[in-house]
Amino acid sequence: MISLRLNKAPLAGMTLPEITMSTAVVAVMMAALLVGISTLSRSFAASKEHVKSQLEQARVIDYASRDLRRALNVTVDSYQGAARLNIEIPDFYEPVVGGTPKPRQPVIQSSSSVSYGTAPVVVQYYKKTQTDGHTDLIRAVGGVETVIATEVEDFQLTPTPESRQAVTLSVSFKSRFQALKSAQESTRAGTTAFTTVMLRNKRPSTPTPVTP
Amino acid sequence: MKTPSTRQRTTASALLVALISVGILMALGATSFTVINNKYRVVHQAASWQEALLSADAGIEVGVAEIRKRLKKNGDPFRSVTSNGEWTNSEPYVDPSEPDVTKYRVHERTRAVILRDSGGSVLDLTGGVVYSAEGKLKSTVDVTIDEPPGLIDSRTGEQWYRVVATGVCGLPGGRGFVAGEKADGRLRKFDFLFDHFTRAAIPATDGPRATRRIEAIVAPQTAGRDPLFGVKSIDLNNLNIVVDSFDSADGPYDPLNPRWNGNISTNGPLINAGNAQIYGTASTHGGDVINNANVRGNDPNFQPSYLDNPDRIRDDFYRDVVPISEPDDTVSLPAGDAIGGSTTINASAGDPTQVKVSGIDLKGKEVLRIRGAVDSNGDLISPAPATYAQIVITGNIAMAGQAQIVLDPGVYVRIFVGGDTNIAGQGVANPNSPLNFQLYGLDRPPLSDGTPNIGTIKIAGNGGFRGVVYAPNYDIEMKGGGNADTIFGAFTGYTIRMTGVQSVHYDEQLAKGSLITGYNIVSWFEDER
Repeated sequence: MISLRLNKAPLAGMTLPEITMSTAVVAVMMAALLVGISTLSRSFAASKEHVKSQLEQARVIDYASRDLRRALNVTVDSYQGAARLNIEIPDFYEPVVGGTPKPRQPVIQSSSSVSYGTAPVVVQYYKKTQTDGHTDLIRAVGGVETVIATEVEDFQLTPTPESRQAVTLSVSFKSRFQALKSAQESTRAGTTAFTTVMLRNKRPSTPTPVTP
Repeated sequence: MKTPSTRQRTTASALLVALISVGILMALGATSFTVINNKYRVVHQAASWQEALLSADAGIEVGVAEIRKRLKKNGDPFRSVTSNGEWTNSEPYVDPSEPDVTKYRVHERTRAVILRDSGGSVLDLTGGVVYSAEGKLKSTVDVTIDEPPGLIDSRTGEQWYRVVATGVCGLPGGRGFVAGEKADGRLRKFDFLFDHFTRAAIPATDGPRATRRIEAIVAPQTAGRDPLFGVKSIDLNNLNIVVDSFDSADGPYDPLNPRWNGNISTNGPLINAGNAQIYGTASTHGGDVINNANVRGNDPNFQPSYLDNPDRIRDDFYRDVVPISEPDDTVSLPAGDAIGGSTTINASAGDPTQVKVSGIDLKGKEVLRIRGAVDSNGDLISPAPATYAQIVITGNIAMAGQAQIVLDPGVYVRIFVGGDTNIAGQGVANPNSPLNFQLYGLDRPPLSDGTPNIGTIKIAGNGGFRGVVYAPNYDIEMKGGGNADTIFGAFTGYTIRMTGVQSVHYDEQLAKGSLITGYNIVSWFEDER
């Protein structure tokens, strides 16, 4: 004969207070877990966004620095309500359809300058809101646009003349993970990266001054 | 009847939860690692890319230094004219053994190697660039200098040079991949298997690398490039002095419409602008420009006032000064007696007339005439063709009374003086461009105690002065005679001092045609292919 009495105790149900307590504890733990996961997830997303923004910031600065170094002239105007940087560079390459472009032969233009081609090429940097609503940072060469950074609604491009031969370019963005949304703009200063570039080519004697 | 074990079920659940937890943590860790590692790679690859630019930039400097070296050879001022009869500068010294390896003659090919280690810097003897930084990446730079046919100045026949420097820096992390996004790859164009400029395969012994290329054009700079340049100092002393510029290619000087390139500069720490009216910049080597209220800078459009122009006063100026040696063509000539009375020297078309004397001493109404081309009757040909003369004076030039040096129309003369010079009396009558009268102070070895042996050049004659004076070992003093003496020209001296009411109008055409005293970069472009 098998006794059922031995198994009776382990199979016995919990009392109502026990269930209530355990449910409450589990609920609190689950809530904490959810909050933790949510916070971790948001933190991760924010960190990832921050890293992405920093990399894009560095890329924009590297792109613009290269063009500023070889600039013949630099001006600033506005496009869609934000600063647009216009850089004139020598027309260094022969026009080519496909394949690798070939450098032009330089020709003496005056007592202190040479020219490549007949007119400079204009390189522009500006933010552009696309038709689907997101904003990209564009580098346009002779009107041909290339996206060099995406989703840069919060980016700010600020060129500042240091002298005739130097331009400081700063790029900042707003951190997206903030306890108080109203504090976001104030975080911009902490994300500012800048570079001061010496324009290697002497600018014309009567340049259009860079205006921030 | 068998009842399932409650203990077993509990154990299995704990393991599952633990595994899930570990899995979640590992996924989080892996994702974080991926993000961090990607950023780490981007940062280090970008650093190598920047390092390659530094190497290329250093290569450009190496190339320019190689070109400038040629100026240090003794002699070699002009010895001929071009086939079309124009005044020309001699070519810089060129080693005839240099091979013609491309369609352009390649003057130099330099490979500077920059090695870095944690202990500091290593100087590679083949290159000569010292570097100090962390890490063990190697940077190299290839430099090529050539002479494209489009870079011969049609007016002067001078050759400009193209310097191409390709900087290479190894990429950390082995043959991995381009970190970041596509835009990063398009920007930095790292070379893993092939050089993206030459399409050549990268040797297996070399790792992946960042490569950047710069093309710079280097133009000769001449003795007449600076309106007023004092190696040690400039002292203007009078608010009535006007220093401005004009371009004789556009017509004669117009006092109502001066150009703003009348720059004054020094390698020393001090300029006394004397509240003079300077239509140009005032530049020192880390020093001050006092009494600078009327220094306007180069930009006449600066608004609302030229005082707002941040570049009108500069303290970052330095210019390498090239000493002048006696021309090769006259070294073997015996120095004749001093010119001590009215004398005529006939300038020649083609090769210049060469004269070497111990001095010039003119008094009373004595005249030294440099005569231009004449016809069979001995009359000057009109319009006057270009004729040339070169005079070396081992001693002093002294003029007093109403003595005068007269140049005929079309005459170009270069005078090399070893002693002191005092141009007084009626001064120099030069009906031509300032470029037609060039006065060079020969290099003077230092005194026995090592101090500089500085000579003097005084210009005080009536009727003004039209010419170029390049004498970096001479104190130059220009004195006004109480009237509005006008000087057209360019002046380089050890010190420059102006007193009296004078004006200096710099002809921007003087930047061409006198002796080459340096080479500067006039175009800089990074090849982004």
